Amino acid sequence: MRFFKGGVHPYDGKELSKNKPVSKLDAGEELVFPMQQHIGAPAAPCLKKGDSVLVGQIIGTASGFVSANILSSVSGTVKALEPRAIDNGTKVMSVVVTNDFEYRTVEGFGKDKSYEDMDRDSFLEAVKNAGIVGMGGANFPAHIKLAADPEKIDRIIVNASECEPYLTSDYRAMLERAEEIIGGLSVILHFFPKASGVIAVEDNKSDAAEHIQSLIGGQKNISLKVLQTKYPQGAERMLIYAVTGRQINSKMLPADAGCIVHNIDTVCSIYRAICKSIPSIRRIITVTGDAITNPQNFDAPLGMSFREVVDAAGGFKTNPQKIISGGPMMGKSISSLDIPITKGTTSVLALTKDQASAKSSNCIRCGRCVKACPEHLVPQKISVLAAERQYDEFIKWNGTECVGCGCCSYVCPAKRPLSQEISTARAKSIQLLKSRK
Amino acid sequence: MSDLMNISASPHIRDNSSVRRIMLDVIIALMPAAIYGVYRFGWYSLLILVTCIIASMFFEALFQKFSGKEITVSDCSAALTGLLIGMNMPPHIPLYIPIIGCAFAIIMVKQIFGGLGHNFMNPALAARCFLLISFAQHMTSFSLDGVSGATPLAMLQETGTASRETVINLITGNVSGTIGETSAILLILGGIYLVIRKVISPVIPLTYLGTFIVFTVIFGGHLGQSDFLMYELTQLFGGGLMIGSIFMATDYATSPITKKGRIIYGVFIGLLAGMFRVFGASAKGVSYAIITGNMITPLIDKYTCPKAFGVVRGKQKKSDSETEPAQKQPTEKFRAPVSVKAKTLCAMISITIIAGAALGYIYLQTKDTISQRQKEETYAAYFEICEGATEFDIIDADFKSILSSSDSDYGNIEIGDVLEAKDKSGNTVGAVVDITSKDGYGGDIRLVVGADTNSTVTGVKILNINETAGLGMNAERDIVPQYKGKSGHLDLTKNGGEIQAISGATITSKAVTNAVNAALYIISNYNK
Repeated sequence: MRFFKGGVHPYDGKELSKNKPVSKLDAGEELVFPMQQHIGAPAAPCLKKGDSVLVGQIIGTASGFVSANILSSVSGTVKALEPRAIDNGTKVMSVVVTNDFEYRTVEGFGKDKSYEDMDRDSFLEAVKNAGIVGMGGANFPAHIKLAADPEKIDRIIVNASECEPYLTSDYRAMLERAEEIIGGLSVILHFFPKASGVIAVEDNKSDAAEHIQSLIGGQKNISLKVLQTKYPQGAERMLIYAVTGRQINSKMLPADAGCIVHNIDTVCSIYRAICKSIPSIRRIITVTGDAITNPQNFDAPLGMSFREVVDAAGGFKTNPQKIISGGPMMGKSISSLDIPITKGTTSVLALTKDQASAKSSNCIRCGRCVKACPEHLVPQKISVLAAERQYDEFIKWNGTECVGCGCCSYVCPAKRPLSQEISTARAKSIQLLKSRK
Repeated sequence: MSDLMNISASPHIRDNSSVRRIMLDVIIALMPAAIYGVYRFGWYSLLILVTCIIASMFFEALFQKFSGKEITVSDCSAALTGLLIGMNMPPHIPLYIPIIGCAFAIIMVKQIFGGLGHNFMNPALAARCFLLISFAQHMTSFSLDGVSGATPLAMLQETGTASRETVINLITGNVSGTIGETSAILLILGGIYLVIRKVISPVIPLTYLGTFIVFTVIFGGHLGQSDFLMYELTQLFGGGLMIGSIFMATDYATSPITKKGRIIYGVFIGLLAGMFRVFGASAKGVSYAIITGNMITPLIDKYTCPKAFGVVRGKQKKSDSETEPAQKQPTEKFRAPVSVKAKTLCAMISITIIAGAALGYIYLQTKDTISQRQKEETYAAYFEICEGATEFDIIDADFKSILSSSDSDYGNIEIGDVLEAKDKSGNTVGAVVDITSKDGYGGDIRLVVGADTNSTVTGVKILNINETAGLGMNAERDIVPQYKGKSGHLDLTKNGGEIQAISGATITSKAVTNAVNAALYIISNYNK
C-alpha cells in the first residue's frame, strides 16, 4: 500500500453516527440560498422579491468562468434579496425563499435520461446547469474540472476516504447509494474514454469498501483502492499520490497528473443531474459531536438552517463550547446556528470541549510538526517567518505549498497556532506573488 | 446562544501531548540511571540531585519573577535541567558547585536567551563545561567506595590498554564517574523508553554513536590488536558518551529539526567526540563535541530545508516556463542566495581578521608584562624550594654534555637556568635547576628542582603543567611532596623505586621523576 509521509491519527469519533442510516429531512418555513457557495465569482440572483420559485429552478446564475448556479430546493416565493451570514462568518447576498410546502417542480425534474447519446458539451452544460460543485468542502465547480482534455486524463478518482474525524456522510453514501456512485463514475468515464475509475476508501471503512466492490463486479474500468487510514488521506495531493504515485504541487492541477478527483457526493450529484434530471439541491450532512443528543446523518435540502438540522437531531444534550461547520481538522467554527446549509456543508459538529482554546507556550523545537506535515514543510520555521511577516523567506521555505490540513497545530505539544499563522501568511504570499507577475 | 460559541481557526482538536508530559518522560527515562547512581554512591549523591533540581527550579522562578515574565516552572523543563546537571556531577562534590552550575544553566544559558526552546546550548551541558573549567579539581576527582581513582576512560587515555573487566564494569556501572553516567545499560534502557514514547527519534544517537565508532576504529590505533574489541567497548560505554548521545545530543532546542539535519548533526558531533577522545588530552570530549554541535545547529537548519511534497526542481522550472515568462522573474529573485552567502562569508572573514588583529595587539601590549610576571614567579619558586638562600648565581656550563655523560636515560629533557644558592654570608647552600620534560601526557612539564650541597632534594615546584585534569594534573599534590629529602637516582615503585606514581597517570609521574633525576645529576656533577 502506498501512502504519504506525515499525517496524524486523531480520535475519529465516527462511531457516534456511523450506524445511523441517512434520514430525509424536510425543509422548514424559510430557506436561505447564499449566492456564494463555491470557489470563484458569486452567482448573480436572477429573481426579484415576490417572484415565485419552483423546486430545481435556477435562482442565481453563474457569473464568471469559475462560478456555479444556485438552485432552489423548495417551491414558494422570494421573500427577500439580502446579505445573510454564512458559515465562514461573512455576510453574502442571499435569496431568501418562503416555502409553500407544495414542492412544485420545474419541467422535466426527475425524468430518467440516458447519457449514452449525449455529447461532451451538453454533458458539461448539464453539470453546470445543475449547479454541481465539489461537495467535500472545497466547493470547486465540477464542470470546470470535467472540462479537462480527455486525451490527458487517465484516472478519475472518487474520493471516498473521508479522513476528517466525526464525518460519516460519505460512509453512509457508500452503503446506501453505492449504485449512484458507480453510476456517476460510469457517466464521467463515458466522457473520458481513456481513463479508468478508482474509488478510494480508507481501510477503516472496510464494510463499505466490500459493498462497493461487490457492486463493481466485473466492470473493467472501475476499481476500488483501499488506502491507509490517516489524516489527511483525502487531501487531493495525498490522494493522487496514494492512488497513482504521482506528486503534484500548489502550482499544478490534478489534471497535470492525469487525474480528476471528485468527492463521493459530487459523483452522486452528477449521476442524479445527468440520469435523473435532479440538480444539486440536497446533500448528506452529518450532525454529530458529544453535545448532540442523537448524532445522525441527514439528507437535507440546501438552504435549511443549521438550527433546524440540530433540532432534528434532538438538539443539544449539553451546552456545546464549540460548533463547527465541517470536520474538526479543517472545518469552520461558527458563531450562530442561524446560517444556511450550503453545498459544501459536510457536517454540523458540536463539541462540549474546545481543545483549540488551550494556551500556547514557547516552541520547544520538538520537530513533531515537521514529522506530521504531509507537504514536507517545516511548520516550526515557516510559522515564525509568518509571524514576522517575512513573506519572501516564507515563499523560499515553500510556505505557499501548505494545504492547511492542520496536522502541525494538532500535534504541537506547546499548542502553538502553527497552521493558523501559516494560512494567513500563505494568503498574503500568494497575493504578493501575483502582484509581482 | 451566544455564550456557547468559541470561534477559532481550524484545526479545532489537539492531541493530548504537552510540553510537561515530554519533560516528565525524559525525567522518567533518566530515573533508572539516577537511582542506580544513588545506590552506588550513597545518600550524598541523592542530596546533590535534589539540590540541583530545586536550585534550577528556584533560579527559573526567580528570573521569571524579576523579569516580569510568567512563571513556567510547572512545565518541568527546569527540573529536567537540574536533574541532568546533578547526574553530571562527581558524587562527592561540595554542594555549592552544582548550585552555581544550575544558576549558570538556567539564567545565563536558558532564560537570558528567551527561556524554554530558545537556549543556544544545552543548559545542562553548558553548565557542566562551565564547571569543568571553573572547578577543574572538584569536577574531576572521582571516588568509588572511598577509594579515589581515575575513571575507566581516563585510565584508557593514560595506559592505552583496555581490559574485559573494565568493559563489564562499565556496562553494569561498577566504575567511578559522575552520578549518572556510570551505568551504560540503564541509560540505554532510558533511551529505548524515549524512542518508544516517541519523545526522541533514534536518528541522532545512532548517527552520533555510529560515526564515533567508525572514527575510533580508524584512528584509535587499536585496529588489529588483541584488545581492539575491548578498546572499542570502553570508548563506547565509558565516560559521558551514552548519557550524552541519548539525553544531551537529542535536546530539542539545540539539535536540528529535520531528519536530514539530524543526520548531519549526529555525524558532526560523532566526529568531534571521536577527535577529542582520540587526539585530545581531556577525556571529556563528549560535552565539548555536543556544545560545539549545538552552535552549528541553526546553520544546519538553515541549509536542510526539506523538499516540499510534489515540488521537483526540474518539473518546477518546466511549469514555470509553461505559464508566463514573467513569472520567472520573482522565482529567480528568490533564488539569489549566492550574494547573501557571499555577504555572510565576507562578514565572517572580516570579523575573524578584526578579532585576530585585536588579539595580536593585546598580545604585543602585554607580552613584556607577562614575561616579567613569569620571571618573578620563577624566582619566587627558587626561594620557596631552597630554604635559607638569599641570592642565586647563574652558573654557566654545558649542561647538555654533563647530562649525556650520565648512564641513565632521562627522556626528552630541556635544561633552563641552573643557579647556585647562597646564604647571607655568601656560602653556597645548594643549587636549583629550571628543567622541562617534554614527555608529559599533555605536553611540556616545566619544574624547578632544588637540592642542598649533598644533592638531597630540598624542594620541587611545578611551574607549568598541562596534563589530564583529575589525573596528571594531580602531580603537584600527589607526587611532588615525595621527592623532598631524597637523593640519588629516584624511581617509581613499579620499577622498584620509592616514588609512588600518581594514580592513573603513569606517564606524567615518569616524566616528572625523570626531570627530577636529571636535575639531581646536574646539581651533583656541574662543578666536578
